[in-house]
Amino acid sequence: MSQVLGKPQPEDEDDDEEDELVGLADYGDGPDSSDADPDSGAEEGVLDFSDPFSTEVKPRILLMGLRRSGKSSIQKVVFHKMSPNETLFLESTNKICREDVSNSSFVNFQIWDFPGQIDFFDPTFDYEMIFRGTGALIFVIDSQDDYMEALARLHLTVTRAYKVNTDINFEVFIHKVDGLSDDHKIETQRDIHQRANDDLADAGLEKIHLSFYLTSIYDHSIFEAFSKVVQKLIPQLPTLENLLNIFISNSGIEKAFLFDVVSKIYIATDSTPVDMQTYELCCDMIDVVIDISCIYGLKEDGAGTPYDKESTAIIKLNNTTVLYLKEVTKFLALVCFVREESFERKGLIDYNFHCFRKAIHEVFEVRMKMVKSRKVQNRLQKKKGATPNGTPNVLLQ
Amino acid sequence: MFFNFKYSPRFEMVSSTSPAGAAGTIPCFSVGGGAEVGRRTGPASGSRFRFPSRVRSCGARAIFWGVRVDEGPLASRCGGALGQPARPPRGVDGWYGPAESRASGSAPPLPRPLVSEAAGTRAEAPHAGREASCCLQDTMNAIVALCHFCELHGPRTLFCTEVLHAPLPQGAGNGDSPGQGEQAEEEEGGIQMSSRIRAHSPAEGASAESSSPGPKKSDMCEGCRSLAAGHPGYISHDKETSIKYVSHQHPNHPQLFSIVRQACVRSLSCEVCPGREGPIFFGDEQHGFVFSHTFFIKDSLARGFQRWYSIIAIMMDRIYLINSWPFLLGKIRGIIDELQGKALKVFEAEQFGCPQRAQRMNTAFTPFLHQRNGNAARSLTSLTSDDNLWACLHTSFAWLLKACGSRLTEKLLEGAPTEDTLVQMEKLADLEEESESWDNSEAEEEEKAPVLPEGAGGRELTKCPTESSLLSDCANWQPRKLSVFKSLRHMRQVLGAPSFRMLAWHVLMGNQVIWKSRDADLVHSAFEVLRTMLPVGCVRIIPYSSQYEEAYRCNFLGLSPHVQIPSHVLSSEFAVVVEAHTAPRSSLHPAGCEDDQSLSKYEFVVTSGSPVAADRVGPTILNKMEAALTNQNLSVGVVDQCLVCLKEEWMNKVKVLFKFTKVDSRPKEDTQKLLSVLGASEEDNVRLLKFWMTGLSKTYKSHLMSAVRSPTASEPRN
Ligand SMILES: Nc1nc2c(ncn2[C@@H]2O[C@H](COP(=O)(O)OP(=O)(O)OP(=O)(O)O)[C@@H](O)[C@H]2O)c(=O)[nH]1
Ligand SMILES: [Mg+2]
Repeated sequence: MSQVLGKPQPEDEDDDEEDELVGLADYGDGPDSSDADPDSGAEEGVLDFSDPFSTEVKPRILLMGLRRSGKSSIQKVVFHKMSPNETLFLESTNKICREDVSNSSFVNFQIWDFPGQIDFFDPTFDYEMIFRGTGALIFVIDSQDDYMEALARLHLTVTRAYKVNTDINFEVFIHKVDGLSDDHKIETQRDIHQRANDDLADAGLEKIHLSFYLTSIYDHSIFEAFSKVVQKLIPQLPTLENLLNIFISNSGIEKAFLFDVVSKIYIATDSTPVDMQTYELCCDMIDVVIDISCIYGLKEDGAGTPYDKESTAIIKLNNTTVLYLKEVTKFLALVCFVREESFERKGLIDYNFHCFRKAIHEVFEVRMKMVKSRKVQNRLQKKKGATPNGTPNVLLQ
Repeated sequence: MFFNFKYSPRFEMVSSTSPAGAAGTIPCFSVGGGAEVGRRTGPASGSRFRFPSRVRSCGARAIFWGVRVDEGPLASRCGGALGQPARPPRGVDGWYGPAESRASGSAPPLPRPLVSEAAGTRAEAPHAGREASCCLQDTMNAIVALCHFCELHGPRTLFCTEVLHAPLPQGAGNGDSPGQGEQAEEEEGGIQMSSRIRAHSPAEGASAESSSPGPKKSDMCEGCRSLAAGHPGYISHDKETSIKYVSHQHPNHPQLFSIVRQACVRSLSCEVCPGREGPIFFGDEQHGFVFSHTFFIKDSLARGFQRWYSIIAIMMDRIYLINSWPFLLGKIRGIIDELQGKALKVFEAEQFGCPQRAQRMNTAFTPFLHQRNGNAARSLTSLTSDDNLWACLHTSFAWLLKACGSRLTEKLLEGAPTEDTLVQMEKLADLEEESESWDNSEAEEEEKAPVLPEGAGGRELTKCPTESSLLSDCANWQPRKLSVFKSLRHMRQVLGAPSFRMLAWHVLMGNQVIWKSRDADLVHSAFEVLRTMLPVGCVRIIPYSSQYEEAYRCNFLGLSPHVQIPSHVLSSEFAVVVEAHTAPRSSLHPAGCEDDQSLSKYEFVVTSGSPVAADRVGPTILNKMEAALTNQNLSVGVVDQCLVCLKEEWMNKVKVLFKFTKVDSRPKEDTQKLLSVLGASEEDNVRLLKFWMTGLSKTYKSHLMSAVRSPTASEPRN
């Protein structure tokens, strides 16, 4: 991180530095290490968003809301690549579906998909346990339906959850907006925003902050919204943003995103505003890259991964913009928007990218050390038979 | 029988030959069943719920025999099936309210209807809580219910069948007396709810309605309703046992309601079954134990083209439920297959007419077509297109309850039977015809004993005094006079350790033990004490005789002092003689306490043809027994138990040896190896084992023999 991003330097110096990168070999930096121990890399590359000093509980993201509001659809589309049309045939969820998002992706948390019909504030259920380890509560409201009942439920959920855990981020997804006209969207958001906050004010709970998003599984808005939800749970976010800022300003780049390749959630971007089209382009580019390398990049027997440290792509658009994708870690990709004239200095960009990549690794190296030491602790704990998540009443799938 | 004993500490399950259990198939669904009854069919109080005749194994013929008839008009089929014609109930004017909204008049109304109730009740209404626990633990034993996860309302109980005992057992009433009306009803044997209805005033019913535990009408859709709003439910009478099987959408008793409700929620929304469809078990003492089988029913209009159901059986008795598992699984699986089969036909027909997938794709973007409440949930009746569905389910569930209840009986056992128990049981069986007088008339036996004629048959010789209970082998012989031996430890004190050891050695080896004394009671008590060292089957006593009896007739022989013992016996190493002389001095044994005073007038002389060498190690069991006897920290009771265990331990070795030598006929060297494995290779131990082998129960021996002859042979009868 102390490395100053700047002018290109001779290649050999670059090589020397490569040798000095002590401790980074874990990330597959060296030509040998990447193939030698892919698994350990995979495991270590997982970013745990929880407070490093807290116990090893993955932060939860709860998906709540009335029945048929689209919770399961969101989870399937974002994390299982389900096509939006397939969600028409999803069953109604009958019990809490808990899913770890850690093995397949850079991000590491649990998504809990709730059944909309069941009242979890019923004393039979231990809702305090549910909320205690929660990082974010996403409340999904079906905007195509009458949302008064949903608002009442939202209010109840938020106030109960807040009593148990004041650190929860409350995120309201005004969902299925694909069915609404643009005016209607704005009007709906305003109305919901107004009513929800009025309810909180009436209850004297103005300090609860609700964030609102207009979402639909039929476009990228759901990924965008989910990105923002996840970003709030990443403690390193300011550092990452800062790095991206330095990187783009020194390389003449318009906009840069750090993507989780599997879920297409962006975990950080520079501080210039995000517009939807740029984000969608990036998502599409990742899809193209992964698709192409799935088709042509794998070995005969299907061995290999579609995404590795060689992965890179350049797409030139006809409006003098260039899209540039490069691998950062096993799970992360950097996608940049560059003007054609800036892209002529590709060497500079590549050099700066090299520095940036190293910095990112350093950021997470601290993390890895934490994770490692915690793993040791955990092993000790497990031996003692500790069950951190034991719930007597609610059993989860 | 012998190997049928489960080593459960409490009781064992024995399959009975009850026809209900043996019937083996679930009544067909195509058969109508269940006579409809008056509206007020609910149990008047929780204390009436009882699982049918669990202890009476085959008391009840299955009343559902006729159910499997497939032909004939519905009415007669119902009658045939249930023994009850579906005649219109009387006293219509006395009826009130729909069946679902009945609550018990006796239990305090509970305001909150749902799952919370079970937990909440304890705090809010301790009275109700106590009552519930009593009604559930003592009498209610099973409920079978069909549950559904409604797309609109979540987990719901659709239909449940309870067991209703009538008339109300004495003393179980809780302010809700059945009255004479109940009695009359029983006598007539018909389905007349009218009498019971009169016992409750309509006003009472009205107040009960407001506190009904069921969900509000507005919260119900077609999908989570089984019986139509005004439907009175179904009832079946089992005339032989005066048990009724009652079916409703919800149980009426609030406590039962909440228990079923809780089980329903857990079965559909909490518990995880690998593979989603299948059986699971869960539960606790408070809310009952639940067998739950989840399954899907196809529905072309459901969001995932299927709906989620479960059939649950709730019992308070965990062990009973687990023992019924295979039965329940098989039968419930049968019911489910039937339902699924019907639904699949309907589904395929509907898909053929109008493929839903394409239609949904087409209308996906038409706003407001897919509102949350848009899809009307469909009833199970329409999903299976079976109008008789609920009546059939009623018969199936009632049959299930009955069959499951008469399948297993429980028997109280204090653990596995010892070899002694078995031998005693065999002897008892042999002596059955005259056993009545033996049961506890010790005096009679004693009267008989001294006058035993010479030709006393083997029957008397091997007679076991049945006053020692079958279940515990410890001698509970009560001394009535002071000049008797009270325990082995007592005898050891009186005789002195060396003499006692010699005597005990002979006893264990099966040598003849002869006591000579004028006092028959003394001899008797000595034998009672000594016999506890041996397995029951090895004990042959002639308590008191006026002439010598051969060793093959008895190993314990009491003689009067003047009887001559043949000299070869006196010099034999296989016999020991104890003579009780009247002591010249007053106190031979100063160590003895005042209890011994009466014995102190005797002097005991133990003689044998070949005295046991002092350094001889002796049988292992003897040393252990002596250790137990000398250890003053052990009470007499503990020593008794210790003996039982030691004997059982060595009887087990005897069994192994028996199987090895007598049944398998293995060569000598092998036997020798086996003996060393058993820790019994010393000569004394071998002799002891051989003697004890004569005490094995016939049951065991014949079992081993037959097991060898045909490995698949069933267990020998007891
Ligand atoms: N038009 C539109 N439909 C959507 C969207 N998201 C979900 N849906 C539809 O909403 C319906 C319900 O979706 P689910 O995800 O199963 O709803 P849920 O919230 O999980 O419902 P429960 O599990 O019953 O609580 C499905 O038919 C989806 O196709 C969306 O963004 N737009
Ligand atoms: Mg769902």
